[in-house]
Amino acid sequence: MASLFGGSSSSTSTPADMAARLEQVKNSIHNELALQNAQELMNKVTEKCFAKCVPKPGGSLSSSEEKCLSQCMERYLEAFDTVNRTYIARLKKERFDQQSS
Amino acid sequence: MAEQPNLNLDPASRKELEQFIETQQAQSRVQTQVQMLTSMCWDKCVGSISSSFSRSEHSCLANCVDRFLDTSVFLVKKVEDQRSAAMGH
Repeated sequence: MASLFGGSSSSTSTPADMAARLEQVKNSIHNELALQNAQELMNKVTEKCFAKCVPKPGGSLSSSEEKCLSQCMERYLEAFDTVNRTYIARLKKERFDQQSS
Repeated sequence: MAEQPNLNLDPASRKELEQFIETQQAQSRVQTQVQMLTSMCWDKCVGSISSSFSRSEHSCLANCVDRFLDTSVFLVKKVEDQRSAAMGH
């Protein structure tokens, strides 16, 4: 990235301007994808935890249902983390096996 | 990459952006897979909710991912074998 910040010129569109624009676009792409992923995860947490913790919806969420929901969300995020790490480890292993075969 | 907004990027920066987008897309595909696997393995492995996973729930989650991928590899190989057997005749 540093290489894009060449010598500063006095023209209206300096290499530094361009590098800044590039950074901006990259950031917004990255943020957009991170947001999508977080939304998808929250939708799943809601769906799964509603199923587990609120089997018979009453007039309001009971305190035991709320406790279950909080714990369930923590567990789901933990499950996501475990699955993520296992999946990444597998991808690395497959790549390694491919290279060494 | 269909749209080409007015970014006024030089060829090197354009190339860098394209590579960045490719990596982001690859990461996004991995994230989609992880979301799908988490959902599926949660249904298979997790019982009633408590303050932590039991040891067996935890290992079930990890096994679930590996066995799903084994299943995928196995079935793809099976189809390939059948196809090459059919071509051999």
